[in-house]
Amino acid sequence: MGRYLTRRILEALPLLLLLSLLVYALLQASPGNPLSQLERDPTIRPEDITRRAAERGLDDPWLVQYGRWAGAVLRGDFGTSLQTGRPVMTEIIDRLPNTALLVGIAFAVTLLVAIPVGVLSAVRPYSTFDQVVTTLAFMGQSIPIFWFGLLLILVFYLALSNPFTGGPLFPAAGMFDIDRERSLVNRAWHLVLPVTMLTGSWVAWYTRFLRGSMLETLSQDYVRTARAKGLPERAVVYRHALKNASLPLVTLIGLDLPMIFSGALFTETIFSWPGMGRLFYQSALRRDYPILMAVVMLTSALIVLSNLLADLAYAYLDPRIRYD
Amino acid sequence: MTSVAQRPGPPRLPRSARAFVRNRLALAGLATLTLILLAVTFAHFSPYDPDGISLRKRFEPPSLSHPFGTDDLGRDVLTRVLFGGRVSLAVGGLAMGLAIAVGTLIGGMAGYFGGWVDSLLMRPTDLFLSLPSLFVLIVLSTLLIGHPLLNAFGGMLLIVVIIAVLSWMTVARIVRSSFLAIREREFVEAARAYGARHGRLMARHILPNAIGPLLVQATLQVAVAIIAESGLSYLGFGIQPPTATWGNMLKDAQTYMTRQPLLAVFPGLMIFLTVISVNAIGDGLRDAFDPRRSSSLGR
Repeated sequence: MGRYLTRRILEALPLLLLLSLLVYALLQASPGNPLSQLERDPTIRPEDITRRAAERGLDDPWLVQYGRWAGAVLRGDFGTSLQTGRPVMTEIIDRLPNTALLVGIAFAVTLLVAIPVGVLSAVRPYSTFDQVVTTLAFMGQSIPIFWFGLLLILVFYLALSNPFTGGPLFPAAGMFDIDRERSLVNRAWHLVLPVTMLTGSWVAWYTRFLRGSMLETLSQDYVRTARAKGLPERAVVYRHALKNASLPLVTLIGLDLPMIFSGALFTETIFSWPGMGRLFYQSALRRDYPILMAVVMLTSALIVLSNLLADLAYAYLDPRIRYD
Repeated sequence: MTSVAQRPGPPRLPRSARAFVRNRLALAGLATLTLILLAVTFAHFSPYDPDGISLRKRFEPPSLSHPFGTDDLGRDVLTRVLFGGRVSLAVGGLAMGLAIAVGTLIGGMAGYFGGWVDSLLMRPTDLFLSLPSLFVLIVLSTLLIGHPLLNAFGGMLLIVVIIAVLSWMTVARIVRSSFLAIREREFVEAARAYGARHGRLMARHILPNAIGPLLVQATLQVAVAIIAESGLSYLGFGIQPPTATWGNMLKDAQTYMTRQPLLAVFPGLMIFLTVISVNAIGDGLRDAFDPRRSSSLGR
C-alpha cells in the first residue's frame, strides 16, 4: 500500500506540472499584460513602461517567467484581479464557502434520495416503481441543467405564489432577502430552488448507477448463500448486497468531489448565488484572466487529487484489491 | 439441427441490428430525431425570416400564424427554433465527428502499438481528462472569439473545434482498450502472417471489430456536444447573435421571462427532446452490441 501510494503520487506530479504549463500557456495567450493599464494612460512615457517591464521581468525568457509564476502559485499567489485589483486568492476564498454550502447540501440530498431509490428499484426490477424511477432517471440525465433551472423559476417563482404573503413561492436570486435579517430560515428558503436544480440531474445519474450496481450484486453467489442460510431479506439487501454495491459508488463520489469547487456554474449564474461558479462567469464576461486561470488550475489540481483519493479509498475498502 | 438457420422469412439482419429494432425506446428516439432533422432541414419553407424583426408584433402569444408566438423583437419563435436547430445539430454532429476521428486515431495507435507509443499518447489523454471541461470551454471561447480564422458562421467552427478538443479523450480510452484486446486475436495474427501492414491491420481488421462501443460512444458524443454548445451559447460565450441557436435563444428568453415565460420553454424543449432521443438511441445500441447488459427501458 505504501509503495502504491508513493507511485501514484509520483505519477500525479508530472501531470500537475503539465497542467500548470498548459494553464501558463493559456495565460500568456490571453490579451493584455500587467502593464496594459499603463499603456493606455497618455501621461506615462513609453520609456517608463519599457523600464517597468524590465523591472518586473517581463522581458525574461519564458522558462524563467514560468518558473517565477509557478513558484508564486505554489505559495498560493495567483496575482491580482484585473477588475478589482484584489489578490486572486482573496476573491476565491471569499466565494468558496458559499459554493461549498450549496454543493455540499445538494450532494447530501442527492445521496439521501439516490441510495434508497436505487436500492428499491433494483430489489424489484421491472416493477411499476422501477419503471417510473428508470424513466425519470433517463429524463433527468437528458435534461439540460440550465433549462431545468429556468423551468424551476418559471414554476416556483413566476407561476406559483406563497398563499400567506402573495409573493413568489420561492426566491430565485441571492442568498438572503436584502431587506430582511440574515436568519437561518431565510437562507434555507433561498437554498431550495438552487439545491433542487443541482440535485435534479445528480440524483438521476446516481440512482441509475446504484440500481445497476445493486442488480449485479444481487445476482452474486454470496447473496444466494445469504438467502439460503435463512437471513431476513432486509439483512440480505442492506448488509450483504448494499455494502458491496456501494463500493463503485465510492469511486464515483471521489471523482465528483471537485464539484464542491466548480460544480455549480449554471446554478450560481441563474440564481445569482455568490459562489465560485458565478465568480468564474463574471470574470469571463470581464476577461479577468488571472482569476479564470487560477480557477482552472486549482480545479484541475483538485481533479487529479480526487482521482488519487478515489483509488486509495477503493483499495482501502475492498480487501480483494491489492496494489503492489 | 438446421431448422434454425434455414427458417424462411425476410433476409436476416445481423444480431445486433435485430436487437436494436426490438428496442421500442431506441426506435422512438430514432423516430423523434428523424422528425427533428426533417423539420430543421425544411426550415426555409417557413413564411418568416428567422432574423426578420417586426416591432409591432413583440411578445405575441402562440396563435395559428405564430404557433410558438413571437419574441422580444417580433421574430417568429418557431422559425427561429428550426433555424437554431440547424446550428445546434450541425455543431453536435461535426464536433462528434471530429472527436471520434481524433479519439480513434490516438486511442487506436496507443492500443495497437502499446509500449512507449501508448505511454506517449495516453499522457495527453490523462492531461485533458483532468481539465474542468466547462471552465476550459469558456476560457478558450473568450480567448478565441472573434479570431478571423475561426469566426465563420457566427463562430460555429470555433465552437466545434473547442468542443471536440475537450471531448475526444473518452473515445480514445474506449478505442484503446478495444484495440488492446483485439490485436491479440487469431485473425489479426493471421492477417499479419499474410504480410498486412500496420495501417491495413488497424483499419481493415481491428477497427471493424471495435465498431460497437465506438458507435455507442458516437451517439453519447452528439448529446455531449449539443449540451456543451447550448450551454456555452446560453452563457453568452458560444454562437453569437443574431445567429439563432437553442442556447442563445434561452439566454434572450431569460431576460424577458416575466413578460413572456413561454419563450423559455420551446428552445429548451427542443434541446431536451434531441438529447433524450440521442441517448435512447445510444442505450439501444449499447444493449444491441452487448447482449449481457440490458436496461429495463425499452422493454
